[in-house]
Amino acid sequence: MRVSFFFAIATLLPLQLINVSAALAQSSPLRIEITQGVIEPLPFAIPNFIAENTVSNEYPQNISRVIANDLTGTGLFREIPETAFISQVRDFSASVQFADWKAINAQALITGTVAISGDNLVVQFRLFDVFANSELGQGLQFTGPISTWRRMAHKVADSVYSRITGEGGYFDSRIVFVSETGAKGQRQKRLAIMDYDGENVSYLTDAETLVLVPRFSPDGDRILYTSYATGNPRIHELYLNSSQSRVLEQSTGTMSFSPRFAPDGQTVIYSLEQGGNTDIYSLNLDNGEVRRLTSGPSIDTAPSFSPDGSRIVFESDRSGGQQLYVMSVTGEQVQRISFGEGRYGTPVWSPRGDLIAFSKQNRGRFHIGVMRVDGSEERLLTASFLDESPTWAPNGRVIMFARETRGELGRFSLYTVDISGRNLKQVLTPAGASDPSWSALQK
Amino acid sequence: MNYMRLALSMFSIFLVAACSNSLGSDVNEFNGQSDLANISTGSVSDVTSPAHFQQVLGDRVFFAVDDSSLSIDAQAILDDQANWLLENVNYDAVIEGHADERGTREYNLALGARRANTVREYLISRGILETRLETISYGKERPIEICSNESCYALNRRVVTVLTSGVSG
Amino acid sequence: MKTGTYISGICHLFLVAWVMLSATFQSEPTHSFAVQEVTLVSTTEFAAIGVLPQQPDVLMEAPNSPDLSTFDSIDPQVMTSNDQRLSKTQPDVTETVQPDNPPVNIPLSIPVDPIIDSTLEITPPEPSKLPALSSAPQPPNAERIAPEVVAPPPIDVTIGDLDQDAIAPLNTKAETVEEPQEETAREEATTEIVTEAEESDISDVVPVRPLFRPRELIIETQESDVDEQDIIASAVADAIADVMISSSNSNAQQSQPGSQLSSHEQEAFRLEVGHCWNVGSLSTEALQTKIVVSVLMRQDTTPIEESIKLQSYSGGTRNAADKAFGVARRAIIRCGKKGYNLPVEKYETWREIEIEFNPEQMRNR
Repeated sequence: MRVSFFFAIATLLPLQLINVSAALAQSSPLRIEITQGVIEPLPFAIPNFIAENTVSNEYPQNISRVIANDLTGTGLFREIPETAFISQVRDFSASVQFADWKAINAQALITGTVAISGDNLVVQFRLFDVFANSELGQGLQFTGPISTWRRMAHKVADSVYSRITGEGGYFDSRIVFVSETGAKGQRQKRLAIMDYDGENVSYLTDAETLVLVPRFSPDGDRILYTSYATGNPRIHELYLNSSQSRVLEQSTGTMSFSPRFAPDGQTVIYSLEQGGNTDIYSLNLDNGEVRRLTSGPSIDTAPSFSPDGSRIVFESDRSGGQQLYVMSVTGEQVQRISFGEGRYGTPVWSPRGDLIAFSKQNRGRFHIGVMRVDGSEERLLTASFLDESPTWAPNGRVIMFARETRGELGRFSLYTVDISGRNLKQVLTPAGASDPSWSALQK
Repeated sequence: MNYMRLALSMFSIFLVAACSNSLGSDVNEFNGQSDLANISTGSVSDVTSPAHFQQVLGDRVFFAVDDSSLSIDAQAILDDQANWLLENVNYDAVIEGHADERGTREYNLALGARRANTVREYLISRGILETRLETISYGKERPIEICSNESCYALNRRVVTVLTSGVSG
Repeated sequence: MKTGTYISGICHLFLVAWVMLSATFQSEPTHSFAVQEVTLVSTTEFAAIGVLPQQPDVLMEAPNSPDLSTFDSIDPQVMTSNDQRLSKTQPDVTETVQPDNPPVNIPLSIPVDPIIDSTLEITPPEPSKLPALSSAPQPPNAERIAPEVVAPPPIDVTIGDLDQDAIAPLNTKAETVEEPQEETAREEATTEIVTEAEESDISDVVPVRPLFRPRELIIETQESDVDEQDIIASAVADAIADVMISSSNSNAQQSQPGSQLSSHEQEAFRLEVGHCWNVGSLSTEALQTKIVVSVLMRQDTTPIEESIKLQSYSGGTRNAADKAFGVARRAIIRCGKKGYNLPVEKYETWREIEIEFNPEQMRNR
């Protein structure tokens, strides 16, 4: 066949001979453009980390599992099961048999050790680009109290993720959310905090008081939320290290809610309702100065700062229905950015600054979507009976949100979805869960 | 069309409410945050009793989707409420605004407040002292009906006038 | 009659040209084969010793030989790994081989930084104590963990003009198909349904033709014409080939320098590499980065791994380009493991290939 191709060309295009000889004379390389590829998870292998000195086998195994789960959970990676391995890794410092890993199509290989040092766990790892026959980045070592073994595993996974994909990870992060128990008509709500993957849940408030929509501070040391503790809804600030909280706003005849931190961690923007009218205000935590940012009879709420602190996106029904608007931090230059059919709410600015996530209600369904900050290129990522409260992963690649099922047994759960719309996954929580807020990467 | 349906469903609600004692007890449950627990509701036949206010006059009004304006029916109920409050000065009221579950949490909180305020303004326009009327919004946090149908949503989009013992009483 | 004359005329013309030109190029390919020979030697050596893993494809993967040290130009990193490879003749006796490597122990004896109460400390292991492998040159930027916070390039998505309020306009083609179902259907991520459907299409069925062809490769005028002509031409050519092969025997299979890759051959190659070009693990920024990668090919149509180089990039940072390059390199190596479907007789035309990887159309999937 090849021969016939060859002749066919030669037959049809006698001139080609001349072209070819010219081309060969300058011997320029063949140039090919490839625009069509595939989108599949990248296969990786992670042999159980090696137990050094007296460490029990449990830690190396568990740590390897957490790393593998972090990576596969992104939808970008696929783990090759140990049963497929041709060679084992028994010595961390020994050189890697790349051919053995290539043979099973492991494109990345993660090896590591776990050791005990006093009260601490020491975790080392290396990442190999198998098809390049080389290590990808340098080996890293993490040391921390034994109880933080999960965090160390997450840190390894974050390093691996960012070395392969080229963007930051999000595994060593936490979620503050509202834990929901009780029947639909008598929900009891508590503030709770957990690792991004649903582990290590602990509760911050009791079930006596209705609490809503918590938000992490940029440093992850404080939480803003709305509580009915004093009767009417009021914005509160809670210190995670002391579990102490305080009311931030108490003017009579008002309700305050929807608080969010500015990137500086010292300014809070929130909604204040007075006489049925809801507007957005900012409060300086240092000096208590309050500033009104919007006015008019509309409901202006759910504000969110741009990561550079210069602008605020919020929702307003000033045009009739809920739509998204962007304004400067001083409340000027208000610009509507959403124009599609339906109602748009709870906009959240991406930590990368490039996108705004929102929830949208249209034709009886709810969606989580993203759009660029000028409102262009709207994409809906999900659809269900009720999806709301989007929050961004620290790397701006994944969105977590709350989904409620329909009916009398309806229940809220947390989900994550990649901004491509792929990899929708539920985050398992001990009880119902809503209103998630994703922290920055922990330090 | 929509209004017709709404009016119809609200009419049926009143029928149910009028005959149902269980609804009354539900109401008490949701008034847990207010002072009503301290008030003896009295007998329905006693026109000065809170029970009469709740069950005969009607302690709540309903709203259309994403709307806070008062229908003719709602105004009639609020007129009765206003008259009752004018005669029974020992009672004050907390006006609770609610929304159905078909909205985002924070918006619904604001919407509930807007509805509550509409009712408050209306009662004030009928001669009730501002100081006797407080508002609170529960947004979609306290549904009274839990099915996911318009029949339930219509009942949850409500403002409830909850009596409290007045300063003088 | 006329056709016959025409055919024989062309045929003769070709014969003459071929004889002339082949003489010119006969001497050409020799020196570049050095590497390949090394490979063959090494593999046979290995095979002779009986240490090579049984997989046939390993033959392609071991471009090394014990005397590789003479090839100074080859990336030292690769040599390191070669050495290591050689040092492990028996897969299961790693420990016994190890003593040859001086810096074996990493360890726990590394001066661990003081541990501050509950916070985690991150310590890169001391370089001097790392095994030889890690002291080899590393890809730049690899240890950077945080992404660029600064103004990422705009996502140049083309769906902007399309109907925005329809459900999940992530992918317009899929949208129109899936929309009606979605309206009534399950409570799922819309685009998940859409994209996964789309995705499986892509991964399972390689499109016969890329949607867009790069301009420089469109040689023929009309596709339909080409097809028609191809049929005739190949019939003709087949006939001629029979004659040719019988008359010129072995020479006909040797290198045939006097022609270019046909667009079909290029297309086939493009599809082959594209099949392994998995951009699924790339950052959004790397998906906006176009790169040009060069590769030298062996005559057996396998790529020379260590020759794969990043020539240029545009649209993203160096870091993004490095990640994109990693993906491209894997594609070239993985799908070339058993050789590409390239015409051996035109080796000269594809001895050196520059591949531009343009993820523009992959971004919106």
